[in-house]
Amino acid sequence: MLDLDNELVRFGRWLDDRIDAEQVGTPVAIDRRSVQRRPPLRLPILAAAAAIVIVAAMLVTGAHRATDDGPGTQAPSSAATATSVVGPAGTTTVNVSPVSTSLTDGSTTPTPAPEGSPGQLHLVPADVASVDISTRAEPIDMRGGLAVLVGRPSGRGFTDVWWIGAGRPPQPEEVSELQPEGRRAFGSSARINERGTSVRFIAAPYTETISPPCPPDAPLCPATPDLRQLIDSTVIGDTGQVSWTLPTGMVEIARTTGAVLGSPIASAKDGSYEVNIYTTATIDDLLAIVPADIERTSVRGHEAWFAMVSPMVRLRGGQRVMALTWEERPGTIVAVTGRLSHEGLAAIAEGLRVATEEEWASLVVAAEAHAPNPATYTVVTEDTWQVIADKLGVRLQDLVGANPDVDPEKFLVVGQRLRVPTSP
Amino acid sequence: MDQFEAFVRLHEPRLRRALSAAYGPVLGVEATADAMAYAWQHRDRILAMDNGAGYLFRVGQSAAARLRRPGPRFVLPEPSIETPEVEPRLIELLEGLTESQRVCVVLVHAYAWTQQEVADLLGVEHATVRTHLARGLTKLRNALEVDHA
Repeated sequence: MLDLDNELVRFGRWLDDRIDAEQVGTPVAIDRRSVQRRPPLRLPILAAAAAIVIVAAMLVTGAHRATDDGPGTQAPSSAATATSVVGPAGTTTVNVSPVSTSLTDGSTTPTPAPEGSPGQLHLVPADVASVDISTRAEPIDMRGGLAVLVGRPSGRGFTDVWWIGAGRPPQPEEVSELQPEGRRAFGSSARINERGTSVRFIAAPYTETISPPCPPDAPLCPATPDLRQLIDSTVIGDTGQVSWTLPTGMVEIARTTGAVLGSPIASAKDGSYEVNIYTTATIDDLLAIVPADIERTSVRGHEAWFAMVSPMVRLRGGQRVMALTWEERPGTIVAVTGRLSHEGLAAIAEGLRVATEEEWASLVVAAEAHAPNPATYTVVTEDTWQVIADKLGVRLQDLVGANPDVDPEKFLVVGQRLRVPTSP
Repeated sequence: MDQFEAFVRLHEPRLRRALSAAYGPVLGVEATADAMAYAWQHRDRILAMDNGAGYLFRVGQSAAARLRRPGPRFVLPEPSIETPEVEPRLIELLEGLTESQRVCVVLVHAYAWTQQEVADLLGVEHATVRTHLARGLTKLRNALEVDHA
């Protein structure tokens, strides 16, 4: 007989998994122009006019291209509805309209967008069957990938850039090109799903976090990346802004081990794993609540623990996300997470270079400089965000804002520490 | 972190779950994005509201109505793709509930929201949520022949 409650919880996890897949594969986008606050009245009209001109140009050049490409091509059927540019048989179909851009890949040969288009469109990799980008944004060329500024309102007017198809971490100079509205790009999250690889940047007035490129002459990269490289390419600054780019890994580790973890002060990720450095956790926190049956090991003489990040999510490929956590030095917890075996995690952990005193000092100083408020609240049974806000006499939004490293979507864990906002 | 960012961090994931419960993950994600875009465009007004999230849920409902396409809301993945186990019959049965019943059942029992939280989001009375919940669960239990305990 089914346990309905249990089945519904399973359904929730399944639905979350589906939601995640949708968010990666089909970012719904908004034209940056349309999300400007209080835009001039004439702007939408001008934008619409510009879009019409652009699409008209694309239709004309697209029809020209289609004709030149010979058999297997066809021209758009009408100006009103045929916003398609159809390439040679077996190649890419590029559909462009003022409100949507979609690519359906049929080959690996790059197909430039028609002249007059807002940017150059390139193919997604051959193993990507279809990429649909519902967007009113302008695609731009990102050295072999298609980047789209989507203006996703994920904060202070952030503009997301979705870069699809390159299948490799972005280079710093590529990121530096993305400075919409004078903002620097920061944060990246590279995720691979059945629809391909996407790399997302968030444009904001912060420095950037970038997956470090693997040096061509590095014999052990990416299996054993150098910590200095990680640090150099990692934000040491507004930890709250960095932390959200992390997957739920550390939150889940905290849930799995019961550990009380603070803001990561540094993070870097490769395609298959991620390294996070924390300074606000203590080994006592870990030891007090580590399950008795958790597998223990050691990393360069430090006691370490393997933990399954989450027993119920991210099972594609049959390998679960594991974490290896240890205290690198007093007050500094390092965690490596990835869809890797214990041996793989251990190899990465052992391969990390120990930072110099100056590097550690700079990390800690940076973290402390950005600690908004040392006052904390420890979560107790039956606490919710609202309950805690009421207890503290602060606004719910202020409480959430003061804890950028805590995902408000996730359950609070008893014993978890939350920062108390400075002003009610 | 400014007020709007905190608002987004708090409410966007919750809206996404709620709208996905109502309309399935594909449409739910799209509707959430539309709702958050609306929130940004009208951020001052939304932030001043007592129940901005509830207002945005209704914005998302309107977006979903515009975007709705024929077909099931919840599509099971290919068997070859390993995903968290889920009872296929449950998905079918959830499809058969009314939208309100489904949202209440999923948010309360799958995501552990309180009934009051759901009531706030839907902009209805607590008792209404309780009724939707009871009716939805009864349908599911009868169909799945599980204990009513």
